[in-house]
Amino acid sequence: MRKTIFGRHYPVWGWAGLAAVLLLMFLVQPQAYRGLASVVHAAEQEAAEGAQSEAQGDGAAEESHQDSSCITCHDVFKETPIGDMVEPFLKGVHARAGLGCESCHGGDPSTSDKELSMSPDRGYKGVPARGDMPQFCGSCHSSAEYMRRFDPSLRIDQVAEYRTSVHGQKLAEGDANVATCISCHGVHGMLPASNPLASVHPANVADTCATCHADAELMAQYDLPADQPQLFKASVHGAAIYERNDFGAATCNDCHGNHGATPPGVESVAHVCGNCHGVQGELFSESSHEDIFQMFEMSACVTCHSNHEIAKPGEFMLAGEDSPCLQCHEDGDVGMEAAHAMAADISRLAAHVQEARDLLTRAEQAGMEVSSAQFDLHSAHEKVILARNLVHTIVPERVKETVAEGTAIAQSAEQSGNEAFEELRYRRTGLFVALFVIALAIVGLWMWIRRADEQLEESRQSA
Amino acid sequence: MPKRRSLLKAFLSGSIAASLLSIFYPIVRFLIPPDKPEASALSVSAGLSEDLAPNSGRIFRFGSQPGLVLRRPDGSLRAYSAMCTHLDCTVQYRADLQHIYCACHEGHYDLNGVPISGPPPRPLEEYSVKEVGGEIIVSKVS
Amino acid sequence: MIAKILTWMDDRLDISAMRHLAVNKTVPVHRFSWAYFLGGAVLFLLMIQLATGILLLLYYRPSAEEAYESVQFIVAEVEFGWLIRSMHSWSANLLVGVAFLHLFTTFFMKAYRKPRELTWTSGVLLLFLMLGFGFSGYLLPWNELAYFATQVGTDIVGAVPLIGHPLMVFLRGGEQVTGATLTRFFGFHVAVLPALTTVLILLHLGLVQKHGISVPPKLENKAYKTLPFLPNVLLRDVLAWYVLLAVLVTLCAFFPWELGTKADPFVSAPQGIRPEWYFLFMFETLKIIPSSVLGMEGETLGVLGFGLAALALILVPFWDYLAQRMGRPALLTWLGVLAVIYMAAMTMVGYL
Repeated sequence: MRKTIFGRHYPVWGWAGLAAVLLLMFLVQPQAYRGLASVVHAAEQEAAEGAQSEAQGDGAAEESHQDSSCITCHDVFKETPIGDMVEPFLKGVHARAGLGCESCHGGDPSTSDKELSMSPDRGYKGVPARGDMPQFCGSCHSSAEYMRRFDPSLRIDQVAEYRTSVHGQKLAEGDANVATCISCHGVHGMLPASNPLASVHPANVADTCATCHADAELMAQYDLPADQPQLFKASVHGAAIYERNDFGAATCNDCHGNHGATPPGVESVAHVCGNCHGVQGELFSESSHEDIFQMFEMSACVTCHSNHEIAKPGEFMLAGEDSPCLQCHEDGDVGMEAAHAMAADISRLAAHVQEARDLLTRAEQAGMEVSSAQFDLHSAHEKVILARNLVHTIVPERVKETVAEGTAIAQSAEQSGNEAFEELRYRRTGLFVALFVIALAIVGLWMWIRRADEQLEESRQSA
Repeated sequence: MPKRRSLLKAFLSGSIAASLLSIFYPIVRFLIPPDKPEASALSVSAGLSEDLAPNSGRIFRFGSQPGLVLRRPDGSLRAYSAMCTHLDCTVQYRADLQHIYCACHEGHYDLNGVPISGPPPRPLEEYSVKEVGGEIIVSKVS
Repeated sequence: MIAKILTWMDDRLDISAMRHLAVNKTVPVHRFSWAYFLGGAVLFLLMIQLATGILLLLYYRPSAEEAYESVQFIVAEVEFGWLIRSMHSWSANLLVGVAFLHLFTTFFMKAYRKPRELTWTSGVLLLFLMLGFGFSGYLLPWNELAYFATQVGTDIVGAVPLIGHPLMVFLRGGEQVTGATLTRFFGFHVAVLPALTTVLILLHLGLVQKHGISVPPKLENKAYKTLPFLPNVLLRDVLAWYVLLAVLVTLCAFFPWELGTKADPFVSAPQGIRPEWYFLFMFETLKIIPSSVLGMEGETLGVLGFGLAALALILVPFWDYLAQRMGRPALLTWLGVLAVIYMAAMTMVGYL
């Protein structure tokens, strides 16, 4: 049937058919797009992965080791202990330096004949004995000329240091259970300490030490506790490392040394802590307690703050029931009185500063200008910190002096806050004046209205 | 009664004028800009440029917080928040070390405000600093 | 003297029609004629908002980094800045209150009947504009309460079916409430809404002058007393304005408007966030609707309900005409009473 629009003929069925085809395309298109999209997506992903692995440099190490028969053969067994070291090795620092399996184990990587490649004639050394590890690693790592070729900034005295350590001494006595190079650094996939994946990165050191030092059975053989790693993780240093990624905080090797690992002796603890906590260390070393502690062979910092489970300090350490001062002093004696006095002074100042801060914040929220007083209050806050430092002098008068300075500042800040609220009240008075004037005007208007109404009445009556 | 009428008129116009004055007086005072043209929390003057010699620094007030402005040995200006990122003590400039130093726990920062030794965990907040007409103007980095 | 000025203007601007109107304009006097002052009171408060708003505009900065500090600067450093700012905030609240009162009185006095339907419609639209002013202006100090109240409010807008999300994105200037929202609200508050208000007010006032002041139905076709606008009623108007000014000044003296804490998008919302009192009844209504009704989200139902209510409000003259035709003239009045009681009750619930 032919219809006309605007005088021109057109076939109905033709147009209907076209419309149907378009509708079908519209409905089907999501499916088609999805299929097409997935193909494109897969291709993109592959390309991205390829680029990523190239960027990681695995390709480079892999390429240069492709010729090594050790790698090629052992990699076939990558799921088993025979071959699972290949991948970590290729990612590690030795492979990147261009070293191969033969650099440590000897042998011939150019032939794929198992007998030849692992023949002692070709230099194959096999797996070194555990007790020989320091010497084995040291054959390269103690040679300055050799190490200079790869990283001139690396130290070359690790083995010498190791021999002075508890681990090294026990190893020399024949105990093979102690830590050697590979216990901490790993065997094949060694990474530098700056790499977050390395077993010797500050974030991982405690766990690495814990492999032995948290093993109660093993530690019992040496009469050592096995809770140090756990205690450390609960400490402020642990919190800094594990919660805030602040690697400036101390971990096992910072206090015990890494290669020369030995617990610091009683006389050296203060020096060790004092490397970071200089102010407190210095103040304490000038105090009366330094000599007393040495006399009784008590560790300077550890006696009060503990060694592994170092908690956040506070005034409770001077005045609480579990105060470390009570290890020597008794409640009521001169020492505890002094401790209580210092704690009371500092707490009072801290509370005063907080009160002043709250007052000024309230004034600020009400709309008053108190930034100058808030600025001054920073100095008062600083006095609290300094007073807490001065506790280490064990002289209450010095704490009192600083607290007095802080109190004066807090008082003046508080006064500014009060003055701000005074000003608010003064404004109210000013507004009352305005209110009075407005009231007068209202009275005047009212009188005028009365007069206008009277005049209106008069004019209406006379009309 | 003419006398009463004129008294009424005087009172009325007087009180209305007074009320209008009490309205316009605050408005006029409001329109005159205050001495400090901008909020002190946004931009402040940190003193005269000539008063800050190379390899020296000084503390100034930025709103309610301390700030440190320093001139490096090469003459360039830097400004940072003087609140130590460890426990909020006020840092200072150490000309002998060419470091920014916090006396509370011996924290050291380099002249870019980056901590190099001691407890501070983060760099100091940096401010933008310019010399305008002989004055050092410090403002928050936008 | 004044006569001379007027003649001068008449010779050039031909204001004789206006003069005639002004001189002859009368206002009915009856039991409820106090309500006639409410419209003028709204106008007065609007003028105060305009004046204080322009003054604040000289120091305010509409960006997320500077808004709070600039308001702090106004309140703490600028002479009488605290007064101008407090006046602006308090007058805003009074304005909305008096506007609602004006709405109720004109409704119950049936001032919307022929020929004043357009006056009513323009008035209702003006009320919506005033609510828009309140909502947009509340965010401008960029403090914590305002930030979260805006977030909640615009979230509710997003609940409108179909156009809700695009509308929300339009209002917020993005998906979230950010500095972009602040700048946008500022633009609405100082440019868009004032422009629309000006047009509608000219229409509204022009219509009021044209049609004269209405009387309640009971007084129609009866004799009633009148007062001439000039000078008697105008003087009373001015008196009412002075009283309003006194109330404002008292409020500023005893309840100065606080600054609050600066908004921080990363802090979780404090407890008890709620909108300003004039939105409270809607907010509480949404809270009592169950979360799902007949397969629709409760919030969507609530928002649709408000939309319908707003439409119904605009069409009040039409409903009254219908009610008259049905022979039930008091029906609308009773509905109005119910509505007022509901709004008052829900507002009080919000404060419990």
